[in-house]
Amino acid sequence: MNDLDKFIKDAVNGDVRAFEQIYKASASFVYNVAWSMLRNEHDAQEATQEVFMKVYKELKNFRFASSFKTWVYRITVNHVLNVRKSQSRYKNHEVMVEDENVIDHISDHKEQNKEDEQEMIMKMLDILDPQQKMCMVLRHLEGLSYQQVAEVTRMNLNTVRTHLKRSRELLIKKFPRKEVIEHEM
Amino acid sequence: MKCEDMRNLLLTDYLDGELDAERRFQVEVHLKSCYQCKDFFAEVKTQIKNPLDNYEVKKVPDSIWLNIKERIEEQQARAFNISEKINSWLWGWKPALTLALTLIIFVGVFFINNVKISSKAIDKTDTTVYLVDNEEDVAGFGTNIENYFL
Ligand SMILES: [Zn+2]
Repeated sequence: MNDLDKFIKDAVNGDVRAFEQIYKASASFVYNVAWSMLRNEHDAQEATQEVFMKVYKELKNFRFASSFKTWVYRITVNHVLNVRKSQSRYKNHEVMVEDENVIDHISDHKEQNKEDEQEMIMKMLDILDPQQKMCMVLRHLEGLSYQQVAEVTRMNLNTVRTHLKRSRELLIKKFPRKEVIEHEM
Repeated sequence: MKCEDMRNLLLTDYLDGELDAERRFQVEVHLKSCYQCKDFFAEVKTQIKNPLDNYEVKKVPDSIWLNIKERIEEQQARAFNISEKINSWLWGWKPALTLALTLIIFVGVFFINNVKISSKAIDKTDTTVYLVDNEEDVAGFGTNIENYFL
Protein backbone atom coordinates (compact mmCIF):
# COMPACT_ATOMS: atom_id res chain seq x y z
CA MET A 1 0.00 0.00 0.00
CA ASN A 2 1.58 3.32 -1.01
CA ASP A 3 1.30 6.56 0.97
CA LEU A 4 -1.63 7.89 -1.03
CA ASP A 5 -3.65 4.69 -0.57
CA LYS A 6 -3.01 4.90 3.15
CA PHE A 7 -3.99 8.59 3.29
CA ILE A 8 -7.20 7.80 1.41
CA LYS A 9 -8.04 4.94 3.77
CA ASP A 10 -7.32 7.06 6.86
CA ALA A 11 -9.21 10.06 5.49
CA VAL A 12 -12.28 7.88 4.83
CA ASN A 13 -12.12 6.92 8.50
CA GLY A 14 -12.27 10.60 9.44
CA ASP A 15 -8.56 11.43 9.80
CA VAL A 16 -8.38 15.13 8.85
CA ARG A 17 -4.57 15.13 8.78
CA ALA A 18 -4.57 12.34 6.20
CA PHE A 19 -6.99 14.39 4.12
CA GLU A 20 -4.65 17.36 4.43
CA GLN A 21 -1.94 15.32 2.69
CA ILE A 22 -4.37 14.51 -0.11
CA TYR A 23 -5.26 18.19 -0.33
CA LYS A 24 -1.61 19.25 -0.50
CA ALA A 25 -0.94 16.87 -3.39
CA SER A 26 -3.51 18.50 -5.68
CA ALA A 27 -4.44 21.89 -4.21
CA SER A 28 -2.19 23.81 -6.60
CA PHE A 29 -3.81 22.19 -9.63
CA VAL A 30 -7.35 22.78 -8.37
CA TYR A 31 -6.74 26.38 -7.32
CA ASN A 32 -4.84 27.40 -10.45
CA VAL A 33 -7.31 25.83 -12.85
CA ALA A 34 -10.11 27.54 -10.94
CA TRP A 35 -8.26 30.86 -10.89
CA SER A 36 -7.40 30.83 -14.60
CA MET A 37 -10.90 29.86 -15.62
CA LEU A 38 -12.90 32.02 -13.21
CA ARG A 39 -10.52 34.99 -13.09
CA ASN A 40 -11.23 36.22 -9.63
CA GLU A 41 -9.83 35.36 -6.27
CA HIS A 42 -13.11 34.87 -4.43
CA ASP A 43 -14.60 32.45 -6.97
CA ALA A 44 -11.32 30.55 -7.23
CA GLN A 45 -11.11 30.06 -3.47
CA GLU A 46 -14.72 29.03 -3.23
CA ALA A 47 -14.39 26.59 -6.15
CA THR A 48 -11.30 25.04 -4.58
CA GLN A 49 -13.16 24.50 -1.32
CA GLU A 50 -16.16 23.01 -3.08
CA VAL A 51 -13.98 20.63 -5.10
CA PHE A 52 -12.26 19.31 -1.98
CA MET A 53 -15.52 18.99 -0.08
CA LYS A 54 -16.79 16.87 -2.99
CA VAL A 55 -13.59 14.83 -2.94
CA TYR A 56 -13.99 14.32 0.81
CA LYS A 57 -17.62 13.31 0.45
CA GLU A 58 -16.98 10.90 -2.43
CA LEU A 59 -13.72 9.51 -1.09
CA LYS A 60 -15.35 6.40 0.33
CA ASN A 61 -16.76 5.62 -3.12
CA PHE A 62 -13.41 6.01 -4.86
CA ARG A 63 -12.57 2.56 -6.19
CA PHE A 64 -8.96 3.05 -7.33
CA ALA A 65 -10.14 2.16 -10.83
CA SER A 66 -8.89 5.43 -12.26
CA SER A 67 -5.84 7.15 -10.88
CA PHE A 68 -6.64 9.33 -7.92
CA LYS A 69 -5.22 12.47 -9.51
CA THR A 70 -7.24 11.98 -12.67
CA TRP A 71 -10.33 11.59 -10.51
CA VAL A 72 -9.65 14.83 -8.57
CA TYR A 73 -8.79 16.69 -11.79
CA ARG A 74 -12.05 15.54 -13.38
CA ILE A 75 -14.07 16.81 -10.43
CA THR A 76 -12.18 20.11 -10.74
CA VAL A 77 -12.74 20.56 -14.49
CA ASN A 78 -16.39 19.66 -14.15
CA HIS A 79 -17.01 21.97 -11.20
CA VAL A 80 -15.08 24.92 -12.63
CA LEU A 81 -16.87 24.71 -16.00
CA ASN A 82 -20.20 24.64 -14.17
CA VAL A 83 -19.32 27.70 -12.08
CA ARG A 84 -18.11 29.42 -15.22
CA LYS A 85 -21.49 28.81 -16.84
CA SER A 86 -23.19 30.55 -13.95
CA GLN A 87 -20.84 33.54 -14.07
CA SER A 88 -23.03 35.76 -16.19
CA ARG A 89 -20.42 38.48 -16.35
CA TYR A 90 -18.38 36.27 -18.68
CA LYS A 91 -21.09 36.21 -21.29
CA ASN A 92 -19.59 39.22 -23.00
CA HIS A 93 -16.01 38.69 -21.93
CA GLU A 94 -14.67 39.02 -25.48
CA VAL A 95 -15.75 42.63 -25.55
CA MET A 96 -13.89 43.21 -22.32
CA VAL A 97 -10.58 42.09 -23.78
CA GLU A 98 -10.41 44.29 -26.83
CA ASP A 99 -7.28 45.80 -25.31
CA GLU A 100 -4.95 46.26 -28.25
CA ASN A 101 -2.02 46.74 -25.94
CA VAL A 102 -2.15 43.31 -24.40
CA ILE A 103 0.38 41.66 -26.66
CA ASP A 104 2.65 44.71 -26.82
CA HIS A 105 2.96 44.45 -23.07
CA ILE A 106 3.77 40.78 -23.25
CA SER A 107 6.47 41.32 -25.88
CA ASP A 108 7.92 44.26 -24.02
CA HIS A 109 9.27 42.49 -20.95
CA LYS A 110 11.46 45.28 -19.63
CA GLU A 111 8.70 47.80 -19.09
CA GLN A 112 6.57 45.81 -16.71
CA ASN A 113 6.77 43.77 -13.59
CA LYS A 114 6.15 40.09 -13.37
CA GLU A 115 2.64 40.49 -12.00
CA ASP A 116 1.48 42.65 -14.91
CA GLU A 117 2.99 40.19 -17.32
CA GLN A 118 1.11 37.32 -15.70
CA GLU A 119 -2.11 39.30 -15.87
CA MET A 120 -1.55 40.05 -19.56
CA ILE A 121 -1.14 36.36 -20.32
CA MET A 122 -4.42 35.65 -18.55
CA LYS A 123 -6.12 38.43 -20.50
CA MET A 124 -4.94 36.81 -23.70
CA LEU A 125 -6.63 33.55 -22.75
CA ASP A 126 -9.85 35.36 -21.91
CA ILE A 127 -10.70 35.64 -25.60
CA LEU A 128 -11.09 31.85 -25.82
CA ASP A 129 -14.30 29.99 -25.11
CA PRO A 130 -14.36 27.90 -21.90
CA GLN A 131 -13.60 24.54 -23.56
CA GLN A 132 -10.71 25.97 -25.56
CA LYS A 133 -9.36 27.81 -22.58
CA MET A 134 -9.59 24.73 -20.36
CA CYS A 135 -7.49 22.76 -22.86
CA MET A 136 -4.91 25.56 -23.05
CA VAL A 137 -4.70 25.89 -19.27
CA LEU A 138 -4.31 22.15 -18.76
CA ARG A 139 -1.71 21.91 -21.50
CA HIS A 140 0.43 25.00 -20.84
CA LEU A 141 -0.07 25.84 -17.16
CA GLU A 142 -0.39 22.32 -15.82
CA GLY A 143 1.75 20.55 -18.41
CA LEU A 144 -0.71 17.74 -19.17
CA SER A 145 -0.23 15.61 -22.29
CA TYR A 146 -2.99 15.31 -24.93
CA GLN A 147 -3.96 11.94 -23.47
CA GLN A 148 -4.19 13.40 -19.96
CA VAL A 149 -6.19 16.43 -21.11
CA ALA A 150 -8.59 14.06 -22.88
CA GLU A 151 -9.02 11.92 -19.75
CA VAL A 152 -9.53 14.84 -17.42
CA THR A 153 -12.00 16.71 -19.65
CA ARG A 154 -13.64 13.50 -20.94
CA MET A 155 -13.09 14.80 -24.45
CA ASN A 156 -11.99 12.81 -27.43
CA LEU A 157 -8.25 13.13 -28.18
CA ASN A 158 -8.95 14.76 -31.52
CA THR A 159 -11.32 17.24 -29.91
CA VAL A 160 -8.53 18.27 -27.55
CA ARG A 161 -6.18 18.70 -30.51
CA THR A 162 -8.78 20.77 -32.37
CA HIS A 163 -9.40 23.01 -29.34
CA LEU A 164 -5.67 23.67 -28.99
CA LYS A 165 -5.27 24.38 -32.69
CA ARG A 166 -8.22 26.78 -32.80
CA SER A 167 -7.06 28.53 -29.64
CA ARG A 168 -3.60 29.13 -31.05
CA GLU A 169 -4.92 30.28 -34.40
CA LEU A 170 -7.20 32.74 -32.63
CA LEU A 171 -4.43 34.01 -30.37
CA ILE A 172 -1.99 34.51 -33.26
CA LYS A 173 -4.65 36.33 -35.22
CA LYS A 174 -5.58 38.56 -32.33
CA PHE A 175 -2.10 39.09 -30.96
CA PRO A 176 0.36 38.90 -33.83
CA ARG A 177 4.03 39.60 -33.39
CA LYS A 178 4.75 43.32 -33.35
CA GLU A 179 7.38 43.22 -36.11
CA VAL A 180 4.93 41.43 -38.38
CA ILE A 181 2.40 44.25 -38.08
CA GLU A 182 5.07 46.84 -38.82
CA HIS A 183 6.27 44.80 -41.76
CA GLU A 184 2.79 44.54 -43.20
CA MET A 185 2.19 48.25 -42.72
CA MET B 1 4.30 17.52 -46.95
CA LYS B 2 2.33 20.63 -47.88
CA CYS B 3 2.82 23.83 -45.89
CA GLU B 4 -0.80 23.71 -44.75
CA ASP B 5 -0.43 20.22 -43.25
CA MET B 6 2.85 21.33 -41.79
CA ARG B 7 1.24 24.27 -40.02
CA ASN B 8 -1.37 22.04 -38.45
CA LEU B 9 1.43 20.05 -36.89
CA LEU B 10 3.33 23.18 -35.92
CA LEU B 11 0.24 24.45 -34.08
CA THR B 12 -0.41 21.20 -32.28
CA ASP B 13 1.56 17.94 -32.03
CA TYR B 14 4.96 19.34 -32.98
CA LEU B 15 4.62 22.31 -30.61
CA ASP B 16 3.44 20.07 -27.78
CA GLY B 17 6.04 17.33 -28.25
CA GLU B 18 3.44 14.74 -29.16
CA LEU B 19 5.10 13.50 -32.37
CA ASP B 20 7.14 10.33 -32.69
CA ALA B 21 10.79 10.67 -33.78
CA GLU B 22 10.14 9.97 -37.44
CA ARG B 23 7.42 12.58 -37.90
CA ARG B 24 9.35 15.08 -35.84
CA PHE B 25 12.27 14.60 -38.19
CA GLN B 26 10.02 15.23 -41.22
CA VAL B 27 8.84 18.50 -39.71
CA GLU B 28 12.38 19.60 -38.93
CA VAL B 29 13.53 18.87 -42.46
CA HIS B 30 10.69 21.02 -43.78
CA LEU B 31 11.44 23.84 -41.36
CA LYS B 32 15.03 23.97 -42.62
CA SER B 33 13.93 24.44 -46.19
CA CYS B 34 10.76 26.55 -45.82
CA TYR B 35 11.21 30.09 -44.60
CA GLN B 36 7.47 30.81 -44.24
CA CYS B 37 6.82 27.81 -42.01
CA LYS B 38 9.93 28.55 -40.01
CA ASP B 39 8.78 32.12 -39.45
CA PHE B 40 5.26 31.00 -38.61
CA PHE B 41 6.58 28.57 -36.00
CA ALA B 42 8.84 31.24 -34.50
CA GLU B 43 5.80 33.48 -34.06
CA VAL B 44 3.74 30.73 -32.43
CA LYS B 45 6.57 30.14 -30.00
CA THR B 46 7.24 33.76 -29.03
CA GLN B 47 3.59 34.86 -28.93
CA ILE B 48 1.94 31.83 -27.38
CA LYS B 49 4.07 28.96 -26.20
CA ASN B 50 6.81 30.85 -24.38
CA PRO B 51 4.63 33.32 -22.43
CA LEU B 52 2.23 30.54 -21.40
CA ASP B 53 4.95 28.06 -20.48
CA ASN B 54 6.66 30.73 -18.39
CA TYR B 55 3.46 31.60 -16.58
CA GLU B 56 4.03 31.06 -12.88
CA VAL B 57 1.15 29.30 -11.20
CA LYS B 58 -0.25 31.07 -8.16
CA LYS B 59 0.53 30.02 -4.63
CA VAL B 60 -2.50 28.52 -2.91
CA PRO B 61 -3.68 30.78 -0.03
CA ASP B 62 -3.49 29.03 3.38
CA SER B 63 -7.01 30.16 4.22
CA ILE B 64 -8.46 27.62 1.76
CA TRP B 65 -7.26 24.60 3.70
CA LEU B 66 -8.30 26.18 6.99
CA ASN B 67 -11.84 26.65 5.66
CA ILE B 68 -12.00 23.10 4.33
CA LYS B 69 -10.70 21.74 7.63
CA GLU B 70 -13.30 23.75 9.53
CA ARG B 71 -16.11 22.46 7.32
CA ILE B 72 -14.99 18.85 7.66
CA GLU B 73 -14.70 19.16 11.43
CA GLU B 74 -18.17 20.73 11.56
CA GLN B 75 -19.55 17.81 9.57
CA GLN B 76 -17.84 15.35 11.85
CA ALA B 77 -19.19 17.14 14.93
CA ARG B 78 -22.69 17.06 13.47
CA ALA B 79 -22.42 13.33 12.73
CA PHE B 80 -21.12 12.80 16.28
CA ASN B 81 -24.03 14.81 17.71
CA ILE B 82 -26.54 12.61 15.91
CA SER B 83 -25.06 9.44 17.41
CA GLU B 84 -24.92 11.27 20.76
CA LYS B 85 -28.62 12.05 20.47
CA ILE B 86 -29.49 8.44 19.73
CA ASN B 87 -27.39 7.41 22.71
CA SER B 88 -28.89 9.94 25.07
CA TRP B 89 -32.36 9.05 23.84
CA LEU B 90 -31.70 5.42 24.71
CA TRP B 91 -30.21 6.40 28.09
CA GLY B 92 -33.14 8.73 28.72
CA TRP B 93 -35.43 5.74 28.42
CA LYS B 94 -33.27 3.71 30.76
CA PRO B 95 -35.66 3.95 33.80
CA ALA B 96 -38.56 2.94 31.60
CA LEU B 97 -36.59 0.05 30.15
CA THR B 98 -35.54 -1.05 33.65
CA LEU B 99 -39.16 -0.90 34.77
CA ALA B 100 -40.30 -2.95 31.80
CA LEU B 101 -37.61 -5.53 32.51
CA THR B 102 -38.64 -5.64 36.18
CA LEU B 103 -42.25 -6.15 35.16
CA ILE B 104 -41.33 -9.01 32.87
CA ILE B 105 -39.37 -10.71 35.67
CA PHE B 106 -42.26 -10.22 38.12
CA VAL B 107 -44.75 -11.54 35.64
CA GLY B 108 -42.50 -14.50 34.96
CA VAL B 109 -42.09 -15.30 38.67
CA PHE B 110 -45.81 -14.93 39.39
CA PHE B 111 -46.73 -16.96 36.41
CA ILE B 112 -44.48 -19.83 37.49
CA ASN B 113 -45.75 -19.61 41.09
CA ASN B 114 -49.41 -19.40 40.03
CA VAL B 115 -49.04 -22.30 37.69
CA LYS B 116 -47.87 -24.28 40.72
CA ILE B 117 -50.82 -22.96 42.79
CA SER B 118 -53.33 -23.45 40.04
CA SER B 119 -52.38 -27.07 39.83
CA LYS B 120 -54.27 -27.13 43.15
CA ALA B 121 -57.74 -25.49 43.09
CA ILE B 122 -57.87 -21.65 43.10
CA ASP B 123 -60.49 -19.12 44.17
CA LYS B 124 -61.70 -16.85 41.34
CA THR B 125 -61.93 -13.82 43.72
CA ASP B 126 -58.12 -13.65 43.56
CA THR B 127 -58.41 -12.10 40.12
CA THR B 128 -59.17 -8.64 41.65
CA VAL B 129 -56.92 -6.07 39.98
CA TYR B 130 -55.25 -3.45 42.18
CA LEU B 131 -53.94 -0.36 40.42
CA VAL B 132 -52.57 1.38 43.51
CA ASP B 133 -48.85 0.84 42.86
CA ASN B 134 -46.48 -1.09 40.72
CA GLU B 135 -46.25 -4.21 42.79
CA GLU B 136 -50.01 -4.66 43.01
CA ASP B 137 -50.32 -3.79 39.35
CA VAL B 138 -47.87 -6.55 38.60
CA ALA B 139 -49.78 -8.91 40.88
CA GLY B 140 -53.05 -8.10 39.14
CA PHE B 141 -51.43 -8.39 35.78
CA GLY B 142 -50.01 -11.73 36.79
CA THR B 143 -53.36 -13.12 37.83
CA ASN B 144 -55.00 -11.82 34.65
CA ILE B 145 -52.48 -13.63 32.57
CA GLU B 146 -53.07 -16.65 34.71
CA ASN B 147 -56.82 -16.38 34.00
CA TYR B 148 -56.14 -16.01 30.37
CA PHE B 149 -54.12 -19.19 30.35
CA LEU B 150 -56.64 -21.01 32.46
ZN1 LIG C 1 6.28 25.34 -45.38
